[in-house]
Amino acid sequence: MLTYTIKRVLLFIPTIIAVLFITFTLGYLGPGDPIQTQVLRVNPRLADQETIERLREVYGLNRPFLVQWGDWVGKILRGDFGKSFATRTDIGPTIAYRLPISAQLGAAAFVILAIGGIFLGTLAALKQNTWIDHFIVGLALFINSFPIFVLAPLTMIVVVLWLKLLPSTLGWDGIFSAKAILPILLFSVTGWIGPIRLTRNGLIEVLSQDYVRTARAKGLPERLVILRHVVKNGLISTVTSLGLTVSGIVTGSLFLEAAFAIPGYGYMTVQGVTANDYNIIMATTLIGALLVIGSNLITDLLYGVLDPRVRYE
Amino acid sequence: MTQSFGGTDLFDEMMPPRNLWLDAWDRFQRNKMAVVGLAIAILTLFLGIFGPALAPYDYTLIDMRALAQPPSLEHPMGTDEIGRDMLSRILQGARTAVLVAIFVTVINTVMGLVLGTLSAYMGGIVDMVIMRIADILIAFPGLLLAVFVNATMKRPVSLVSEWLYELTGLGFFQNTLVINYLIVLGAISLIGWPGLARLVRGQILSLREREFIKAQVAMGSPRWRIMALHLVPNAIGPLIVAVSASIGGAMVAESSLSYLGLGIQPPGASWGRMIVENMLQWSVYPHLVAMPSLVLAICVFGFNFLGDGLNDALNPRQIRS
Repeated sequence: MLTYTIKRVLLFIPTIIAVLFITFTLGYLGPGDPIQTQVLRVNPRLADQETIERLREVYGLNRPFLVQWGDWVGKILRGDFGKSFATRTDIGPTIAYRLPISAQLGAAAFVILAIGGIFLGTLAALKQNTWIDHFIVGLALFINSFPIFVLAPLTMIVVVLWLKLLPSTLGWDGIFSAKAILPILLFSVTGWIGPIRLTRNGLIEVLSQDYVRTARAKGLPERLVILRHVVKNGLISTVTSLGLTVSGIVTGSLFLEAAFAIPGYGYMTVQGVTANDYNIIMATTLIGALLVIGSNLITDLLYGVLDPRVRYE
Repeated sequence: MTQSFGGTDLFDEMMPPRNLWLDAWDRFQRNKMAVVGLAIAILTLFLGIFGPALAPYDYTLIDMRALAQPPSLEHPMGTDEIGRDMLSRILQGARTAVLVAIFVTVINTVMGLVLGTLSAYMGGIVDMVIMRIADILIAFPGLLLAVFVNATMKRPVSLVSEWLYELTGLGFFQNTLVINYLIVLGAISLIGWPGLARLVRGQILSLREREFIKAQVAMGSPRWRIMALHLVPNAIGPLIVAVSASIGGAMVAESSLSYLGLGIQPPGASWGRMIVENMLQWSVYPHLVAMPSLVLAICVFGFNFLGDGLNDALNPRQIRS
């Protein structure tokens, strides 16, 4: 297991370096000359060639590309994401304030996604090819067709305007407030199809195995057959695949938080995109990518723990 | 066929000739949701191509006497806040959605097929480079990368097209709508091909070990011939499934970008843009948000169920789900 872990972790280092490189390159090409843009924005009369050259030197923008990249990476490692173009404030503290909001939302959605998905998937597998099975899979597939920014207004119209169940759903009062219910619910149900399918297919495959027949033949109660033999082996792919839903949660937060006006990581990204604030876009893209890479690594390691065959490939 | 083995054609009369595609069609039409999905998909494509011509009004026409109206005989889907006919705008949005979906799907399929085949068949350094690039692209959360590329590449792409305009004098390169489309297509294609390339590579790696390919190699067929005539056609079933499932995804991606204010810029119409524009007034005029939302959802739903049905029809060995 130790060799496997070390091998996996080492494999992720080049990916992280590549991600850092791509993010910086795009952010470098995107806005053109930041000094020129900034000077023009503050005071166009200052934009003579000499001033610009001096500013370029002060900010180290006349150095070779790779040196600038190294400098940027060094700053990121120290938690310095640069300043926002629009507000001139440091991005690091903003992220430290906003990311936890999204993390709470994401974690709550993840828990419902995992428990609900596994429960419904198990139900579908045990009632294979009955109307219950078709209903669960069909419904999850149906919900999955709605992008979150479509589902948000539609449910808001039904729940707030028609049924009047909630006063208003816009804004953020913390995770344990009525306003958080709809976002969390939408967040989790839109990702259900993955775990439901994997659980269902995993369990169906195990149910037809010889050792399950043996367990039944020796007179083990059905409840124990399911718990000890079927669930334990059939859920490996579901559990490991849950790490992959992190990618959906990261991108989903952009649209969810924009639709519900929640001031988290996603909303920050959207604001950065709208304002062409390249430093913010670079910072949030990088964080999103690192979250996904991290969860992929955890997925790989978890797979190694749960399924020993993987370790000896 | 009939003359071989004993000369009786009784067997052939009883069993009409069957092939993979007929069998697949049989399995497909037994799945009612998939048939509904197919109908929606065909209708969407039809409206995307001919819709703007069928529209009752010009989609940019502002009627100040009819602001934010509910559906009526005159305006079947109502009008938006500045008095533009909703149906005409939705039909124009269908053009955008279908155009992007078709182009993205074609680009992705070709790239996935070519790079996946090359990767599997050449092996070695080619395989390593292609698969490493795919791995890195997959490491980014898909849509976030598209958003990032779209946001950062706007200026460089317009600079390049301006340069191309000066070089060639073609007005085409100065058209901002063309530039918008180029950036959107590029950004969405960038996140789509790695998955398809991996799929094709996996298929071909397993096919390569099969006897009929080994026989071709032994007979001395050239590599390109084996690839084009034997490997690719046999890997195509799962690819069709993945591609049909990705059409809905491409539509969502296009709408998502325009929802964030990227993508196709006004006056071009896009469903995502229509949703976000009317979102400010969602509690006053809910129908303005609901119309484009429902249309987008129905289209994506259609393509997803079509993909699901094709999966069951073309990959019968897989467990049904």
